[in-house]
Amino acid sequence: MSLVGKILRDYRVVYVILLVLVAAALVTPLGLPLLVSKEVKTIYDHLESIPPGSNIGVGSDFMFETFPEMGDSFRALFRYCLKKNLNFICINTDVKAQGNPLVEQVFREVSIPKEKKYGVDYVNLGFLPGEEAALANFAKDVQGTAVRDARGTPISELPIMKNVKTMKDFALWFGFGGVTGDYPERYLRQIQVPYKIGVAYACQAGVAPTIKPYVASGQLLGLLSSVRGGAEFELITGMLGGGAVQMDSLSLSHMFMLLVIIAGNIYWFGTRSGRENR
Amino acid sequence: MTPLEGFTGIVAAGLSLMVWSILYRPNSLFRMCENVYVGAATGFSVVVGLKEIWSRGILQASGQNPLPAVAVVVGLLMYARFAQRGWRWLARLPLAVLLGVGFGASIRAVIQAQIIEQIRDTMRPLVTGTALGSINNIIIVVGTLCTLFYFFYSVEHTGVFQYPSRIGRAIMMMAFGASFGMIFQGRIVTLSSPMMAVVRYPGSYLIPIGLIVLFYAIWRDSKKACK
Repeated sequence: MSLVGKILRDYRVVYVILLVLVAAALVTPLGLPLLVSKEVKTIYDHLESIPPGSNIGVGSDFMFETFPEMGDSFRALFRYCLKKNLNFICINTDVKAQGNPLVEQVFREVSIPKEKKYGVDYVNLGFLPGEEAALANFAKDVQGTAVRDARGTPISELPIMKNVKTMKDFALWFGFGGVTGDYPERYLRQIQVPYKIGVAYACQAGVAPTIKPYVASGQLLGLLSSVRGGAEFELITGMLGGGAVQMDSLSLSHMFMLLVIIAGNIYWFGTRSGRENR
Repeated sequence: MTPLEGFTGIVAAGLSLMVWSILYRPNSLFRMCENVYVGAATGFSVVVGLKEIWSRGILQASGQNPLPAVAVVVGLLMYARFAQRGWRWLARLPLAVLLGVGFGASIRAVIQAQIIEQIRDTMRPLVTGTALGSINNIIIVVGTLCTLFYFFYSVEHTGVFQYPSRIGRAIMMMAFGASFGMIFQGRIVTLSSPMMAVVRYPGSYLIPIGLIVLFYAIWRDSKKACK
């Protein structure tokens, strides 16, 4: 076999081309078109209908390894809430998640307007042990369940929490499913069904097809699926960020994989007769 | 950019390159990163756990409310599995509490959220005002029924019954294909997100070093293969 043939048969060639494509698209963005899906638009429309000063609850159950997929959606939502004067209240209840440091990292990274203050406009209530039971307790009695925020301040001293007593005081709940195998059912069971509060969800790409039935049935307001969902949300809110930057590399890599699949099939069918004759 | 930000940028880019080295072949740099990640994640979970036990359990129990002490004691019983055989059954108590609380909390709305609403959404009119709407509803209704029939084992899937079964299988294969495509998207994101740290300053300074190490590894392996 020739040297070129040997190289082409090495699967690592696909990795190298993927790495180069992704890097090239990040260094020189192509500006490929991106459309906003209905699932993202419904979330945006709902957020737009919420009056300023309302509370947005956020389930920030990220893991270190899933944060690259969820981070852009989270940052976009945070920036949008700051811009629209919506109170941004985070909790995480999943024992497997590492939400606390990641939320604090976003609070440090995002350029926050000077007039917006921690504890007044946004807060991280930290980890509440107990998973779904903790979520149920939080929904029933916010002040009794989250006694202190993630920085150790008693929530009685936080102005943002003054009028937040139960889940009924939230205008929207936004769940982030960054934990492997995590799905939005617990938010539906503990928030949407008992309190009739709208629930939106952001998830990893791999689990999005299993969550879409909840969007179709109207139980979830909408879905931000991985970086693409984040990029769409950035686009519709007019605040472009990391999600939009990565979309070109995603599109290029998908196109490349399509080509590889087509070429592989052509090669397989082309050499089948030869194999059968042998 | 502060010196600390520059340093963290270099570390992030360096770790990313070390992790990607697995694409060439398994090596000690990759294993080092793997161990660093497992150690960091485990260490974080242990610290959070201990902090919660201290602040929500021990500190509160020493105050006016003694109830958290009960939770701490029940939680400690989890370690009874390491005790002598006669005491190991005690480890089942916290498990029973955990399962009971978990089921109790979730069961109250599970039927409404996951069964009734989903069944209701599959009961759609087959003829709507628009052609696309009708086609969409027909696909949902027929697809759901055929997929359910695929898992109905009381009738042999031959003759007339083979058709709904085959349609159900085809629908499931489409769903698996969609999942596979989305998983690929997720994997690319886990490549592109750290790639941003690599291609930008100061991480970009590590690219030539990474390439030199890669070419050296290729040269050394090819030399070994020749021998």
